[in-house]
Amino acid sequence: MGLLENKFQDNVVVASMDKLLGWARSTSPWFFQFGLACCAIEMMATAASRHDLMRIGMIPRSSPRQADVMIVAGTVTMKMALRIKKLYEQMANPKYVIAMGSCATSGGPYWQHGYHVLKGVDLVVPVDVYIPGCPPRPEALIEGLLKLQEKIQMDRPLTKKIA
Amino acid sequence: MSDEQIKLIEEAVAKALTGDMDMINNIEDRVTRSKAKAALVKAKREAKKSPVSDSENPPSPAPSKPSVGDEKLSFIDDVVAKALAGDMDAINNIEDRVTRSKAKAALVKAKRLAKSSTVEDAPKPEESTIEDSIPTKKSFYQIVAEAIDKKFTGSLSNNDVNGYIQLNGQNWFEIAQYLRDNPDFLFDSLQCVTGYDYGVEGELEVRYNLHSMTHNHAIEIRIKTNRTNPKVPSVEQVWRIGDWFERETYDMYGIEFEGHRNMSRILLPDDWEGWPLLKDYETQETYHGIVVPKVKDGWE
Repeated sequence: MGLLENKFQDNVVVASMDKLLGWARSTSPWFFQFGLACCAIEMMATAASRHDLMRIGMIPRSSPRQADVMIVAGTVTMKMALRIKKLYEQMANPKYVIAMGSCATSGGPYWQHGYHVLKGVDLVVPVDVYIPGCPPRPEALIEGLLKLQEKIQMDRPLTKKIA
Repeated sequence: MSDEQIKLIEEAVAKALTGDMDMINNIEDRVTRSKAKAALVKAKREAKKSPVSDSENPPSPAPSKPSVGDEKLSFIDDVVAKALAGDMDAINNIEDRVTRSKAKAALVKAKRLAKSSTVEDAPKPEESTIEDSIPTKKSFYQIVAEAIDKKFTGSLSNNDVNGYIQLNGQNWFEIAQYLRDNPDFLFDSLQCVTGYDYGVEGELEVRYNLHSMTHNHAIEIRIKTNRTNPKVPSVEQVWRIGDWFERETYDMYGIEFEGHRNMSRILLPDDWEGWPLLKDYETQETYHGIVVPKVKDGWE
């Protein structure tokens, strides 16, 4: 940390405000979950005791207003697409989206002939992390969440963005 | 004693042995009557001594004996065969006590033989009787069709009721109530409602699968409707599950169920265009600004 390094006692961390905020936000991304299909089962398994999502600071929330991350787990139908958009708009900034499983990323097995299936949730909301798999194993979901944490950590909320 | 008297005594004794005592009692001459009675007692004692021999008419002349015995035997055989087929009256109506008891003994013997010799064959007659008493699938369909035709004349589309009953939609609500409440049918469960598309130039059809929990029998009912303005009476108020079944059929085929209290789409969004399971369905281009791609190329 340059000039300030080793000028203080132990247990004192010196960091920029941006990094501090990034660290705090990345280690407690509460996720807004709605299970739409079989991916939801894997998400439940991930949140349960064996894989224990809470050890990386993730707590499931049932309301979009309390959540930072939205995990879209399962097949998104046209009927649901409008609702997903509405729910995404209700989340507070900063907000992130994970597309879990092949249905949410691309339409999956309904790629060609499913007239009722949205071909990828990125057609309605911006997606940060795509997790392939049908459905992805809990390890894959955790990998995706860690990738998202890296991404959150790289954010600089106090830095003025140079357009 | 004259020959006439001897003949009369013989006849009377023979009659008496078969149970008819009137002839002996009606002999006017006292001496002849007592002689006849003595002959009867003697004949009976002889019959007791030798039960193997034909005991019915020992004093009767010898040449007639074997022929009578053969007749009796064949008669008993006939009666036993009848009784085995279930007709016990033939045995019970035999007037002669001895013959009757013989026939009964023969019947018991025959039954025991049948039981011990053919264990595998034994259940066969039962099976056949069950098939006779309980209607087979086909005949049951015919029974139901006839009952419907009797009560609601003109509602049957055709009389070919092999596997299903084709109705034309007339009085369908009342027929459904009748099928549910009639104690012979008691179709208390509507298991499925399906739509069917016979092709772009064909008709549409609705199929109902009914099942009775009480009688454990099932039936299929089909109702055809036209393609341009498909309408079928609703049975939602007869079977409550029909509510969702009919809404799904409406959702996929556009068949309108008249009398349904909430005739709207159930799976697709309310503002969806078209009926997806029709043969001539064309997917809409966009839905609320989202593209609904028919086929995406490049991923094969």
